[in-house]
Amino acid sequence: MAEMNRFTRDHEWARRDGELVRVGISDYAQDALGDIVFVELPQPGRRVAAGEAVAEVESTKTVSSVMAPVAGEVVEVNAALASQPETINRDPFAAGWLFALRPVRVAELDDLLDETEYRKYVEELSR
Amino acid sequence: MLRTPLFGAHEHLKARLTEFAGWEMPLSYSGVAAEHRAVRESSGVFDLCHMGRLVLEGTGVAPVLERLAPSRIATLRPGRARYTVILNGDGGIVDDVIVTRESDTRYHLCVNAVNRERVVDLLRKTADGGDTRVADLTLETAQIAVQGPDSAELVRPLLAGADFPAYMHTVRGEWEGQEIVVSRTGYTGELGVELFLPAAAAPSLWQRLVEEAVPCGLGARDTLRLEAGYPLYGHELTESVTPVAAGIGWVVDWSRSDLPARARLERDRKAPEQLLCGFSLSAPGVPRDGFPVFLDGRSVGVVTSGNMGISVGHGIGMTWLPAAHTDPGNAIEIEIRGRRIPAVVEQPPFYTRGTVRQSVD
Repeated sequence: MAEMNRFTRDHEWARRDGELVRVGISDYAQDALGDIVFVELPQPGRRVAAGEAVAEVESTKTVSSVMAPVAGEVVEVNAALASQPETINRDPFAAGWLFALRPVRVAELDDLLDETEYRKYVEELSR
Repeated sequence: MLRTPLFGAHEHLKARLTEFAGWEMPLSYSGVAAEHRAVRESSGVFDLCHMGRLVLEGTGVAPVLERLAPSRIATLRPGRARYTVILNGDGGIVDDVIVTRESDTRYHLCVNAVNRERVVDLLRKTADGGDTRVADLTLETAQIAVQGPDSAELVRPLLAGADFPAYMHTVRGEWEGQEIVVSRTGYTGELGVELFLPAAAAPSLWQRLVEEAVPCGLGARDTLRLEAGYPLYGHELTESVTPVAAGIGWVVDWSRSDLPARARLERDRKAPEQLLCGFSLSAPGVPRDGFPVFLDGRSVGVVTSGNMGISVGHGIGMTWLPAAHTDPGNAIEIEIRGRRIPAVVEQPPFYTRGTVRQSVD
């Protein structure tokens, strides 16, 4: 069964991937940012707290911080984004992932919004 | 907020909107990068109705303009356009404008939206008592730019048989039986024109143009002009700097005996303290307006305009530097989120393959 995406109110998605938690930004976030032209990714090995700014996503219009949805250690980053940051616009939930964490407590994911709750949250924002 | 005659078209195209100088304007439609590339590679169309359009009539117009601008205006031939600046008494830039001579005694002035009222006011004060009438036609006229290597073909049916204008020239064209002005001017670094026409005729012309050209918003307008090395009023150009220091000293006609603010302009020519410079980041990153700039480890100012250069592929920007340190290749640093990123001074344009001056048969 495919793992479900979880969401933060800052528009990151987080998804279990074996022992890791893969993280990216939502479709709503990439659309709001516009054309993404540069991504600054964390160093693997860095330990981060939930809510800590881990990456920066820059569009032609603005820059936005990407927060760690759960506490953990950065173990992988999506190096392909260095040369093709626009992948995030094209495919935010798959090829446009940003980094993967080894979570301190994977159960922290359950504290995040599920797909339905996030959709409702975004609808309220857009209203 | 003011809306242009094309606002309905922007809503129909589901543009992202933004406030600019009191106007509700399209920021982007399909995305800044796609619009930017369309202008570099094919053609794009821009709603520029927010720009100020003034008509000056009378025998006193050229002398009035020459009291305010450091260029020679009286020698401008009918049908020619000239980029120049309006100066304050101290040689600072009140606005950068395009003057077009329409006839012996009639001139058109395209001014920045943010400065329109100030410029109208200054023109009327300077004209006081002489034969110069200043009319602000901004709200009853429209301005649409068609820019990009394919723009000549797109515009040709509007020329009513006239040749496509040479760089900084204008010709009369026609749209739906009404006369329009086709001006070979722009702000993208590419071949293109700006079309001036009555407001009521604008929506149908826009509709016609977007059938072939990509609609572009202010986002792409800004990334295109930055790559082309054009300064922007309020960012690079302000009342406290002269055109000489701001890299557009070529607008000054030094042979004029009645050159306004000559002392200040001469000072900036002979011994400038600071000069406006372009820079390219040597490492990945995006410099943005207001980011601190360092030279030899000390803070020397801020980025006046910065972004990712979409066609050049790296971060670019402009800043003021002490005059002794402005040689191309000089190392500086831009502070981005607390980290100093290396950059080098570069003489704009950053994008050097622009078609702006290309001749058209």
